[in-house]
Amino acid sequence: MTALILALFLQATPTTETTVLMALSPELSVRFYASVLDEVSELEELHDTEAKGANRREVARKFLPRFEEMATRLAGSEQGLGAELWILRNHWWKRAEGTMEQVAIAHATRLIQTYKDSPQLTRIAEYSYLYGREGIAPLLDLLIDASPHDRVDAAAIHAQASRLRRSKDKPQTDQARRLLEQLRDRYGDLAFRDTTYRAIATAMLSPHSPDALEVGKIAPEISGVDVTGSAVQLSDHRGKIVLLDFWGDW
Amino acid sequence: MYPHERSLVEKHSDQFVILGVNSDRSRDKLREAMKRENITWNSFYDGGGTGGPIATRWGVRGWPTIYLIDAEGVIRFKDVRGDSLDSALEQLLSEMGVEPTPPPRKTAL
Repeated sequence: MTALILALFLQATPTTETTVLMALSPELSVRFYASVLDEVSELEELHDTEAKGANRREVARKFLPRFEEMATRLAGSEQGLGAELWILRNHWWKRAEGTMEQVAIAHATRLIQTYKDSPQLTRIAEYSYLYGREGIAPLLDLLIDASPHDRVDAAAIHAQASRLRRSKDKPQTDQARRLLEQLRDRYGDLAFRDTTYRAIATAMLSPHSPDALEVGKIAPEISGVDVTGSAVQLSDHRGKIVLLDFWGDW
Repeated sequence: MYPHERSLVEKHSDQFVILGVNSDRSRDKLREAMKRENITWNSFYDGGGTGGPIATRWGVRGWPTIYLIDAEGVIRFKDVRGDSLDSALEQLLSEMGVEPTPPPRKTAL
């Protein structure tokens, strides 16, 4: 059964593939997705391992031809899209102006048009902060129009809101608030990494004001979970000096 | 950096604790990082990635970012490390009535 599906898949266009996947039971299609991305995921893991503690730019440059080969060989499939998304993400478009930004946006546009049914397109939104400034809003609108998936829409709205809330321009920050309220109310239950869009949108709607975080002010409470999933609060340690260390991958 | 912080926690474990807010992409990656760097203190897992709820509410833009909070819960120092962390911690410890450890004496040989 799996061999037959695999054979169908390998010859399929993106649309056919999605139809095949939707015909499977949800459980089977989730497991199928996971196995489908094996080759790309393996190469990504390899890259991530080498990049740890090394010069990221150099390692990315070294891996680029392998991802390009994979993208060409597997064009039209979810794997091919996965390889293309790695290329988009690691080409260091950020801090680049002018033609590099246009190339990135053109690349992202092409991926949206070719793979419009793929749930992987959330990553186009997630990486959009890397593309520069000008073309992002229309790109994210295109993504929302093109994709049938709520989670892609949510990712695009999140990216729009993240961008707009940093603006000095009141109409734009007002629009950011409206988008965040939409994210919280309409898409709140959808997963955003290991949390929900409700949690993220709520946090973005009510950040602590810089005044509240000044030296001399009482630290706001933090309620969360640790790596085992156990509840932790900052106030658990009242009575001791606490060094609060925001650390990790960035 | 971590060996220094580890030794501070060991030395003053009754009065001082480190609490991380971690932005690694997954719980597995966090677990690996804690093992690899021998991080002995607990961390909030902030939902995977730098856009998590805690970092967002605290307006954190650069990693790492550090806040030193006293025993009453008041923010007293920001982004202290190395020597400045040592002297900040000494100040807070002395406020709690704890004798600071004298610095190692450098003797000429």
